Amino acid sequence: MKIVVTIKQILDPSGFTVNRKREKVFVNREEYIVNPADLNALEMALRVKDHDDETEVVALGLGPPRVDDALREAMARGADSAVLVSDPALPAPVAQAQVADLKIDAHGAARLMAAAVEKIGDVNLVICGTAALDSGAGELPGRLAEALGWPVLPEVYAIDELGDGVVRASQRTARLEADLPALLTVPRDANEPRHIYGARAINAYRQWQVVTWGLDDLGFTPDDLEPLTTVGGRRFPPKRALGTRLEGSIEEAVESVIAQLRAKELIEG
Amino acid sequence: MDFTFSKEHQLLRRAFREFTEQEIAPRIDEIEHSKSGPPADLMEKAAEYGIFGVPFPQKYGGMGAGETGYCILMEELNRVSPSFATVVGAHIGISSMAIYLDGTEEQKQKYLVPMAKGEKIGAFALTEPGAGSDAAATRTRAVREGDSYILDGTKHFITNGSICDVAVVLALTDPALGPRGGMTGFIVESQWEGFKVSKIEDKMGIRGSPTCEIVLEELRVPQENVLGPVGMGFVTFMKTLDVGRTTIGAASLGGAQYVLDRAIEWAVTREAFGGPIAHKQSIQWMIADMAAEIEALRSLVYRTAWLVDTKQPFSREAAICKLFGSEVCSRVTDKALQIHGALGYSRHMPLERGLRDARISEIFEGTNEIQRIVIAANIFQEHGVRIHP
Repeated sequence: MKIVVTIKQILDPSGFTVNRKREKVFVNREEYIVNPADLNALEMALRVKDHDDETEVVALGLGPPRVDDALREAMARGADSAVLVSDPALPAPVAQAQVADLKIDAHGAARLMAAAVEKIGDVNLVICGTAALDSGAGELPGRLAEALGWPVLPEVYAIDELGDGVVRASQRTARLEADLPALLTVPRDANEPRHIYGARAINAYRQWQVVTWGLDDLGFTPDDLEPLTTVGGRRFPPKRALGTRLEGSIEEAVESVIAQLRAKELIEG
Repeated sequence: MDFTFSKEHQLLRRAFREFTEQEIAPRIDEIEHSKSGPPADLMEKAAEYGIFGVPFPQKYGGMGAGETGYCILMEELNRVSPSFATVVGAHIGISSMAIYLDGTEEQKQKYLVPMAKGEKIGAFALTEPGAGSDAAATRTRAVREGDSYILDGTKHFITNGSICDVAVVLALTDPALGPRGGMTGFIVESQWEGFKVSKIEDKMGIRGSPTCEIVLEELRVPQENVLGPVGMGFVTFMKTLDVGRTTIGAASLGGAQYVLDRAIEWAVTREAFGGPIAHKQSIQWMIADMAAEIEALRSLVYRTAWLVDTKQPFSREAAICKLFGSEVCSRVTDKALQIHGALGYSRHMPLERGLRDARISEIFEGTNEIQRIVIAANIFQEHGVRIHP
């Protein structure tokens, strides 16, 4: 079984502060992390590998050269190898303060990654985090499955069976089945990702390589990646309304909560 | 000159930070109240991620991260749990290290490999009731009997004594020669007959790490378990302590940085006299002084780690790391507690434990007075003068 896990590198949210009044994001420490849901996707792949030595897990990333670090981290956590799609011809990363890396749209990213999956070859399964913490769009997995022409099983919590050309997986409330090859998406609460193995962290830099493919390697030119959508502007999300503070004893507060839930017809009786 | 950490060491720091925050931090109370060392499942998990073999080459089951990697580990462990750091430090830094430095290839395969993998836990048995700083006063006897040595004596204040599988022990083989040719190191297994834990200390700090008195009674040690050449044990033990000293500086750095971070958080949230106390000059000066000492310590620790990794002389620098580091950690923790006011004195905050835990670093692995002797001896030697303590 060959499994590709998509890895997105994002700006560490603990390294920046948001000033709502000035509508600005201040980057105090420019550090990058692996998108958390992608670690859940990786964990799901590694659990398949735990029970089957033949399984090979490949981490696949897209972006500027620094994404190399995210892929080496994936190897330090257990991925067997890593591929980075990166090319100087890809538009430069947007200003760091804008947080999300919207250089090419998800359509372009998905087509590039689909080409990479095909070039990796004999891939049975692609596993993606459901959405990235920075953009929160969750657009890539569906588009990637579309570009590959594969079925997509969204919001999978566990793989129940894998093999004989079929994958059976559990969502929170349903069980899905699809022919292989297929693509799964994994939400952040699906599992507890394992940590970085120390010796693998050392080997990830001293012994192992990340394979890098440019546009040429994948048969693309920058013109092929003309975005379907462009960002027309940005604004701060509306401020969330503060909740109500309940005074008095715990008993009184509980009564008040129950009364309000009843009034909104959220509970009966 | 390049002061950046290598990429692998940066990733390693993140790995240790993730492990300590997710696995150790939630269980601090459990660790602190345990009389038998950190919980077994936590030790197993730490072993799985390679924590017990950080500095040793991968061919011996280690991580291959060198002294720099080991310093990063101690810094990160001590941020969260000085007790856990002490258990790991005694295991790696002095017990496994002695075997790594002076063990034969067979001894390394038999003991160092499982120790680096965390399958066996180690202790370092040097101190005796009558031989602390004055290790040359060791009285534990080792008498040759055929292919074995018979060990008799008492070792005390031995970290991991009650949870170890393996202990390296210093004993007198020739009382007439004393430390210069008369002391020998031995690798002892704790389940051998004659190895007895007679007492577990009730300590002021690092309460989650078991510190024990060990009685050796007619303990038979086979000749192949002699560590280093016969008569050269004192050298092995002193050399091992040298390497360990840098990492006490690193652990102190982690502890000091942790309490500084807490003090900053508190200073910006706590309001008094109409605003956060961070705006008061008295607080700013304390924060600045703490940060200045910590920064100096960080440079010192990692420069010394670099000396060790690049195989340059480091004895003087390592002693300075231990001396300066332990005192910085105590001073900084004291200031952090002061910034927190009465809350800092409360057992609900980590400052009170921090102060108790920090204190031991001025004492163990050679008191700070011994460090001063080592530093002075090195300095005078550089000027062609040999001084005698």
